[in-house]
Amino acid sequence: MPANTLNDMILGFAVILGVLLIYVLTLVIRTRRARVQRERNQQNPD
Amino acid sequence: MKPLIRYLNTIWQITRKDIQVEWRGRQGVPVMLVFALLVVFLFNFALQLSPELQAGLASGLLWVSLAFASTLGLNRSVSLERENNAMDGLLLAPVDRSAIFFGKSISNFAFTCLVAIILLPVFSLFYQQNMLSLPLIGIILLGVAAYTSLGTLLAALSIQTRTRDVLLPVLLYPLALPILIAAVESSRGVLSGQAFADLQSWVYLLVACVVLFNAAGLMFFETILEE
Amino acid sequence: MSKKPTLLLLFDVLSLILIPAALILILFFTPVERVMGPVQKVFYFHVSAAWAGMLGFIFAGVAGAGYLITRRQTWDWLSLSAIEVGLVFGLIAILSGMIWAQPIWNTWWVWDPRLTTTAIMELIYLAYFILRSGLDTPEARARLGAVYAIVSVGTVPLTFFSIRLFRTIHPVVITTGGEGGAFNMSPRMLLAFFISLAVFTLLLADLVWHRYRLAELQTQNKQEA
Repeated sequence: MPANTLNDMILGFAVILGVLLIYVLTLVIRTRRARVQRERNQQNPD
Repeated sequence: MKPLIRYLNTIWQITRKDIQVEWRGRQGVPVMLVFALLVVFLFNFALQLSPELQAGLASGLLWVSLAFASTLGLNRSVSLERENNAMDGLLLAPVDRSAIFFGKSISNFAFTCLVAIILLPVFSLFYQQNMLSLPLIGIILLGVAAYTSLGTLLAALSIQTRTRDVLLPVLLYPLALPILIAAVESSRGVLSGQAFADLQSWVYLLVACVVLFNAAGLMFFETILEE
Repeated sequence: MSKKPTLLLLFDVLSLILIPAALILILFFTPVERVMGPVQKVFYFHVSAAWAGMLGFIFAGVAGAGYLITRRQTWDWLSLSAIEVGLVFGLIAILSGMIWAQPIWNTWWVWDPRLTTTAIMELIYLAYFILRSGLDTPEARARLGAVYAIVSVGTVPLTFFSIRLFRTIHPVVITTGGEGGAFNMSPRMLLAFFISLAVFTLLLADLVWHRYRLAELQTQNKQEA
C-alpha cells in the first residue's frame, strides 16, 4: 500500500511551476521596461 | 633555465617585500593572532565546549579560527598595495603578473602558518590534547597553502569592487568549503590516531586543491589585474 | 534589439506545449511508486531541474572562457544569463527536494551530499551577482565575472566529492528508512524521466536566450542614455 502523499505531490508541482512562472514574469516585466526605455531613447535622441 | 630563475627571483622579491613590511609594521600577524584567539573564545562559550574536547571539535575549531584569521591577512595584503597606489608600481614593473600572485600567495601562506604555529600550543593547553604532531603540521601546511592561494586570487577580485574587502568572505567561504572539509577531517583523523590509509583520500583532496587553485592563479591573475 | 528569431519562437511554443504534456504523462501514465506514493512523481521534475541548473552553470563557465578569449560582450551576456537561469533551476531543485523529503525522510532538510552541494552552489552563484554589482564598468564586470564563473565551476566537483566522502566516512546519525527512498524505475518511469530531462533542457535554452536578449537590450539602452 503506497503512502498517501497526494497533497505533498500537489505542493511539489505547485512550487516547481510557481517558481518557474515567477521567474518568467520577472523576465517579461524587465524586458518590457527595457523596451519602453528604448523607445523613449529613440524619440529624443540627445 | 634563465627565465625560470628570473621568474622565481621575482616571486621571492615580492614575498620578501611583504615580509619586510610586516616585520617593520607588525600590523598583520598580531591582529590575525588575536582575532583567531577571540574566535576560539567566542566559539567556546557559544557552543558550550568542554575542556575534554573531542578530536573532531578541536580540529574544527582550529580550522575555523585559522580560516577567519587568514581572511584578515588576505584582505590586508591586497589593500596595502591599494592604499598608496603601490599596486600601480607593481603593475608597471616589467614582470609576469602571475609572479605577483605567487609572491603574495606565499607571503599570505607564511603569515597564516605563523598564526597556526602559535595557535597549536595554545590549543594543546586549552583542550588538554597534544596537537604538536608532525602529521598535523603537514596537513596544516597543505590546507593553508590551498586556502591562501584561493584567497589571494579572490582578494584580488574583491578589492576591485566598490565594497572592497567586505566582499572577500562572501566569495571565499563557499568556494573554500572543500578545502575546509578535507582539512578538518584529516586533522581529526590524525588527532584521533587513525592510520594514514584511512585519511589518504582527504590528503589527496587537499593536494588537488593546492594544484588547482595555484593553476587558477597562474592562469587568471594577469586577467584580474589588467586595467 | 534585433527581431525575435524564429528558432526562439519555436523554443517558446515547444516549451509551452511540452511542459504540460510532460506533466500529464507524469501524473496519469506513470505508475504510483509502491512505498512512497504519489509524491515520488515530483522526482521527474526535481532531477530535471537540478540537471538544468548544473548544465547552466557549466555553460556559464564555458561562456566565461569564451569571453576571456574573444573579449566580446556577447559571451558575457551568455554567461550572466546562464548563471541567473541556473540559480532559478537550482532553487526549484532544492525546494522540490525538500517537499519530497518531508514525508519520505520525515524532515525538510538532510545534510545529504547532493542537497548540500546544490545549496552551496546557490550561494556561490549568488555571490557572483554581488561581485558584479560592486563593479563599475561593463568591461570589469565581464572580465572578473568570467574568471569567477570559471573558478566556481571548477570547484563544484571538489565540493561534491568532499561532501560525499564526508558522509560515507561518518556513521549514519539519522536513519532514513527504506534505503533512503531508493527505488527501481520501470520502463514507463524511465520514459517519463528522459522526457522531463529533455523538456527542462529545452526550457533552459529558451530562458537563457530570453535573458540574453534582455541583457543585449539593457546594454543598448545604457549606451544610448
